Amino acid sequence: MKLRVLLAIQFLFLFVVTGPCVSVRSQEMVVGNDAGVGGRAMGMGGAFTAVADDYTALYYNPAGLAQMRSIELNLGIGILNTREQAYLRSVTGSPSNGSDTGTVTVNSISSFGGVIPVPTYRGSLVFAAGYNRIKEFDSDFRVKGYSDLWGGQLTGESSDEGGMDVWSLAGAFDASQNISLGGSLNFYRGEHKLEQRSAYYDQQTEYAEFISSGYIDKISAWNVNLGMVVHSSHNLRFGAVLKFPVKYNYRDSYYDRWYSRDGEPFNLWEHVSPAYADSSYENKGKFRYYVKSPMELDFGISWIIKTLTFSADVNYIDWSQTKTDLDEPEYFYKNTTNWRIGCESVLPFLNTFIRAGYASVPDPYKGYVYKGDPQKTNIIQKNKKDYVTFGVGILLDQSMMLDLAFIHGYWKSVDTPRTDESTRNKLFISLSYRI
Amino acid sequence: MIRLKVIIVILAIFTAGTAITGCYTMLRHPQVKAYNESSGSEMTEGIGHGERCTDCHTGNVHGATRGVGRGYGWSDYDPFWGYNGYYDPWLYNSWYGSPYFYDNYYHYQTMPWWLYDTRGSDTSESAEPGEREKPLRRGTGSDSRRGSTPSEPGIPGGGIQKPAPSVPPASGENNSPDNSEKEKPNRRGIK
Repeated sequence: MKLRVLLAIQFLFLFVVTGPCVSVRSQEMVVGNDAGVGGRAMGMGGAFTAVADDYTALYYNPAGLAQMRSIELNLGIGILNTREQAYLRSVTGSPSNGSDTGTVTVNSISSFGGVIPVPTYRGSLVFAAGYNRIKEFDSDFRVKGYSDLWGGQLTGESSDEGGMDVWSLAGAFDASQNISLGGSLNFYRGEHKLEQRSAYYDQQTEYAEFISSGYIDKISAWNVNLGMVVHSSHNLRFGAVLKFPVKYNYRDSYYDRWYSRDGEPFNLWEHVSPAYADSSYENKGKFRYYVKSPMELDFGISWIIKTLTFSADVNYIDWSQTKTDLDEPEYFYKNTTNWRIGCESVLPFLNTFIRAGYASVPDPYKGYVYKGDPQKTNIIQKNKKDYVTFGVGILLDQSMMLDLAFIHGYWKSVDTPRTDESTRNKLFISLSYRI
Repeated sequence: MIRLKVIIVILAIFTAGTAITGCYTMLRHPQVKAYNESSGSEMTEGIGHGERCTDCHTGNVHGATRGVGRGYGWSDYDPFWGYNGYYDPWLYNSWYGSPYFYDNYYHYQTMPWWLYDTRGSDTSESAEPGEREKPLRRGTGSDSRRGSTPSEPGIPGGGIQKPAPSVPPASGENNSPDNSEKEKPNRRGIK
């Protein structure tokens, strides 16, 4: 029995604290996981650093605001669908493999705000303010099958909710005939809620465990972005953005509950209390920590020829410079180079723009190590996240544009003996009203 | 918090200072000296946003390829305007083009909002580009264009206005060389 309790505590660390791939602490959630902003920009794969000629320049490149000549009001809605499929593969081959799938659909306001160009005699001076939802944590993860680790049947579900919003103030102006400069001040607010339940049962020994844990993280941060757009010859535009480090401050409230009994297995959805268990462990608390993400550099180029616009972005981030004051575990990150490409064509006889894009976003998260017990080092293999995007813009009249974009993302991660396949589908609907 | 305030102040000073003083961007036209013929005295006067630059200036206004009130510049995205500000007749009058779309998109994307009122409905009833009134020099003839009226909109960049949505010639209509010449106005009036 004592051995089982020790095993259970170890399980607690391995499964609950570190959690499934998609449900680690919020630390990983804010590293990457960009939700995308704007119907037009996302239709072009998010390659908007050098285009940036609408409200979403507030997010992609504040210097691009200097290109705007109209007062714009923008409202965007996002409909996100996530699908997580987990495979448990028994390396011993017995008794069987298993898989389960979790899906979730979330609707949210993805952006709203406005742009005000100041009347100028020459050049440009533009201000903007608004809200954008930049990260989404929503997902539902389920696992079911035989676990080699514990020699028994495992079922579990992990549910993530929440996201990160940013409120921004920005200004841009023409510093010369062909160069625009801009800056934005960004205030981040976010919440990440996680709930996990898992049940384990060993048929041979008729031993059962139930684990329930979760937390709510309130996240806040601010930073400054500086941008530049260069209008070159032959309808070329170059864009660059320097995003200063963001120090995310967390206020964490958590709970952990563990129960075990001999005989009857636990049902994943039953209301478990110490009265229904032979032994139990409950813990809850609050604490604060921070995660400081490194500086980011974005470069973009766009080329307009006839009715076509081509754009490409490269984004470099050395995530290994991510800092935190969390004691355990220590997370591993790698530097990433994200790249995005997109194109847009106008079909004037249909009053319509059509767009397509592609984005390659490597996952910076590699794994973790418990400094107090290096043997618990866990390296997770994650493929890069691939996104394919399509979009349509409909010019409704002289003042209003409706932009729709659909993005499809897919990636895979391996945390032996489990393999996760993740799919993200999101529909962006943006309405821009220009006065 | 102190650090935040410092950065806000620096950004505000940098933006305002650079935008207003010694920068390419100018919020207002510099005051000009005018000669009052009746009193014989010199006086300074301001220039409104809606006034035609070519009333006083000739050639490339400000020496800027993108002209005044950006949005009339060659590098701004406008699918119907090709390089060097020339209008592409193939797109405009082809089956692919749409004067209706062009007119809407021009207003949506390109036109400065502070010129909107002064331009009025210049696109609907205005004359063909080649038939437009030639801009007048300030102080010569009628100088009453200041505070221009809707029928005489003030267009920065040489007074050459966006071409009105034209209707493709009807079948059998003579598409003379003169007509095709009209389809290639210089957008900024800069030759």
